[in-house]
Amino acid sequence: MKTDDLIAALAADLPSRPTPVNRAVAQALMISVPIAVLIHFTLIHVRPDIATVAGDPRFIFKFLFTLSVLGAGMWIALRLSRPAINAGPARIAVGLAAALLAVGVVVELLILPRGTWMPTLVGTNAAACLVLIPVLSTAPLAALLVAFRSGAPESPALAGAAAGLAASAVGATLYATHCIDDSPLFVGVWYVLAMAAVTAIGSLVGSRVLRW
Amino acid sequence: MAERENEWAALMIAGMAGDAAAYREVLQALTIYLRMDVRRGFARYGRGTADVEDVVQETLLAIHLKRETWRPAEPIGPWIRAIARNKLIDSMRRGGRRINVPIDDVIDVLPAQEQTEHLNERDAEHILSKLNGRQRDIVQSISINGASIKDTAAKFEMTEGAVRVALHRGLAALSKAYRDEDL
Repeated sequence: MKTDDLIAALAADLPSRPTPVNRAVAQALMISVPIAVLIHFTLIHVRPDIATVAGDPRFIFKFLFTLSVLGAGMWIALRLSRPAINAGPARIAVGLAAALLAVGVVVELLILPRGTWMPTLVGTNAAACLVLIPVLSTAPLAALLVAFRSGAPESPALAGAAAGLAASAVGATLYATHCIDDSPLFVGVWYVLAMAAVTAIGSLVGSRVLRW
Repeated sequence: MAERENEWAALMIAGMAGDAAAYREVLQALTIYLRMDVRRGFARYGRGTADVEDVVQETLLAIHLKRETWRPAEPIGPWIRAIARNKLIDSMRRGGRRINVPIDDVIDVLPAQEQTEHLNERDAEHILSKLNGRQRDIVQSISINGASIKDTAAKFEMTEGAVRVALHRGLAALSKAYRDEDL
């Protein structure tokens, strides 16, 4: 096939408007977040004392952290999904979300007596955290990876990791309404481990399905 | 340089708004640029020019299929170059695998170097042959035979809508065939 022939075919295909990646991602979230919420209420429940802890700084901090990861993760994923786009500011945003957690951990260490550090870190149900955050992240991860196929990431593995990070933040935000361990020490270990696992899966799958 | 890219951007905007003539014009202009760019890339990695046109076509396909990842407010040059670089690297990887064949296996083929011209043609047909029957017929009718959507629909007794869908899927499949190819 000559290149001119190909161009004729491409021009004939002009009316097929590909979905812009932002719109595909918005649709993916609108479909997958309700599914994740449904799975959340099927498997677990919101902690019974949520009304009493709603004003607790540690409880609020969990959401500050997971929602800032969600925002930064979505932002960097969208930046990485298009060619020749500077993702620098979005990288800084991801760094700031991590720094926020680090500050929370340091403040917690300053407040808590040394003897309570370990029991606080171990918490009451680390295993549930490690299992349920990935489970709750599955639907958003799958939907986001499909949506990002509308994009053209220069690095499919990196874009997949960013999608994984954003999806893990959805899972972590939902799990945080159930989990009674509110200390930044617990979040800094178990939430982070679970979210890292989802990010790694996103990278692995992304490196295959986000090629273009 | 900037002027040329402004022109590409203006044509691309018109094309994306539905102006097929402008779209054709920008793709033709890009073809000339990409040929030079890919040839330079091949030279840098010490590769012959045999597969240049393949990479150009692959890049044009990607530009077309991924055109929504460019926004008129952004400069078009870096976007084009990023897509071309991606396709060049893909091609180098495939080339790399090809080079790993033990010399004993290819020693008989070496004297046949003058045939590389024909290889290009054969590869292009080989790529089309990876499409399923109806998609191949339709892509071939509109590209190689230069038929319109309407004539193609009449010829294959399909609706124009069905031809459009098959053409689009065929082009996406063509892009995938290039990507997965182990020549």
